[in-house]
Amino acid sequence: MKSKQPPVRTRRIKVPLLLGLYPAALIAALTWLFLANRDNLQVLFVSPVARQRLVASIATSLQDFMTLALSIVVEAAPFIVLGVTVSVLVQSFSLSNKLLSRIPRNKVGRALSLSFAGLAMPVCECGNVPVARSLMIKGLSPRDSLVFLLSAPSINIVTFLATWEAFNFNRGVAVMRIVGTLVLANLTAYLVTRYVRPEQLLDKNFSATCEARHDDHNYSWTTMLSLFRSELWQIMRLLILGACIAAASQIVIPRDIITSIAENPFLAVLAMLLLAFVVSICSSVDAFFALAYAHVFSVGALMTFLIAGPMVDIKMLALLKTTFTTRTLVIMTSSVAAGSVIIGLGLSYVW
Amino acid sequence: MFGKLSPKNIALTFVMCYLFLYIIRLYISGNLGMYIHPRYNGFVLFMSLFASTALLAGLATGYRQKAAAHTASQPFRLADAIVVVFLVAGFILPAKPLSERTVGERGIIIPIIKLSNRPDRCPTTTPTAIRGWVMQLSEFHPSCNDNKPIELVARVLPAGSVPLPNNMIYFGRVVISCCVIDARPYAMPLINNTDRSYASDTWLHVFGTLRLKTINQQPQFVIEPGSIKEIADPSKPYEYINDRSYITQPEISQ
Repeated sequence: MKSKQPPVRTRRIKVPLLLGLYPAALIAALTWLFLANRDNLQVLFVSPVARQRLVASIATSLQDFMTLALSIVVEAAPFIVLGVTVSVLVQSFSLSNKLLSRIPRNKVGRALSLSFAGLAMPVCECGNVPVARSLMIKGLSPRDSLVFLLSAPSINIVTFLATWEAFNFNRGVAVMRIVGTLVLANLTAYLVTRYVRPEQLLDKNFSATCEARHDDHNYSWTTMLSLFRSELWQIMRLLILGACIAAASQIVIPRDIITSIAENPFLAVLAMLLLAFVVSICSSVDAFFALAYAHVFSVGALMTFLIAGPMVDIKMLALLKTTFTTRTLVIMTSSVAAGSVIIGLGLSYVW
Repeated sequence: MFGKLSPKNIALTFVMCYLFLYIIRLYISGNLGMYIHPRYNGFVLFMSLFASTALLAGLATGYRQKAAAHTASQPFRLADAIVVVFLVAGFILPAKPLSERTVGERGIIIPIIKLSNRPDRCPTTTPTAIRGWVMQLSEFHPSCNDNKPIELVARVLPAGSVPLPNNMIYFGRVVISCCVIDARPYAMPLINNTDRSYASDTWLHVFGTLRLKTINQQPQFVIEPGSIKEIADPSKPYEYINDRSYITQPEISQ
């Protein structure tokens, strides 16, 4: 009788992530310090005075970095608390079933109702992420949630009124912003679900959460508060990381370089797209920020900023990483970037 | 010792409470404006109080009763440690305005004079802050504002990429729409008709008159000062869009 041979196991040697993370982070930090202080480095080896100046310069860069990053955190944190609170309530009191049942089943009605759902949630886009997560846990499809996430920041009363007021010399900007957002949000959601397989859309941990909590409701106070804490931490940690990246990019990339290429229509649109990505400003006030460039950039370039900014910026991508896979976010970002550039270029020549 | 709570949940609760209590402290000390537009102050304060209360209540209720397993947080990772270090470092550093170098790299917004604007359409109000002046001078025909009196409290800004003649300096403030991340300097050229030179970041209280000149082959309004007085750094250095409460009264240095 032959003895059972144990199965041959192939060992997969996993290189600990930390071994790659530490050097990469160190290189990134050194590169950032170098770029932020490039003017001082050339005389670093010449005199002690120059070295003192370099230390002071690095200290200044770090102080500014902390100020910029903290400003994003301080401004966005309350909206995230609001969004997480709504999310917990939606999950805990079966509100999701009532909300989801009100969405029309036909395609056009469904797309329109999700696109205009921001009218009921006129907050910074940060607050929409936990709400969308809770609705997905309770059954909203990723495509529908993407339409909501991409359109809600721009298609709401607060943003519309702010844009209407800021561009009072050209009211069409406010209207075009809504139309452009409506089209691009739905198109992007379609493209993402077209080119990403369903099992690759959502982050694995979030998918597991959806499966675990899908049928749960009527939570106890203890569970609701525990849920509040865990969801808040999940989102806040990525907000902080996103804020750090946005702050670092603002220090490394001088803004006047971005805005110095306004004369070429194509480059102007690209510059405003990059600015929107880097600045990571709330949609409720970005119209006033864009207004400062109204005398330099075309309306088309400004429209690119106003449409793309609330959809994809450093802060928003960091928050969305809690829910979607990198592949989903890459396709989403590419679609928004390409679509907003096309809209911007078209308006630059027509308007 | 911790009842039914895990040490990790306790640590996370205190870290997040620390963040919201720090925000509350900024509000109480009047330094919230160093980071965000004052329109958010009430909302930020309320949500910070709410969040702190909810987090501490979660500790209290979780001490006796265990929450559902799937509501637990994910394992503590290196990224979490980086976030905690950032938060602690951020809250130790005092709140400070952006440095002159970072401000200078954002590109100064100056009035853009358009001779195509209608000369018969003139403003009926007088701005009191730099942004208002920059917007008004850009919006209306120059004849509407030439020789108008102007009074401003602002600071000397670095020249940036658009140089001025030797006897002029950029005079303006950093303006915030939402939070410091979007801050941009608005400024106008100021003729320095004194025998002093003013370093960047010096705060001045200026009474003067607007004059239309040609600078860098472009028409540009400059401030011809009647008097320039150096003042102490104000406690509220930023200007905020659509908020007049932060237009500071001059804090005269002795």
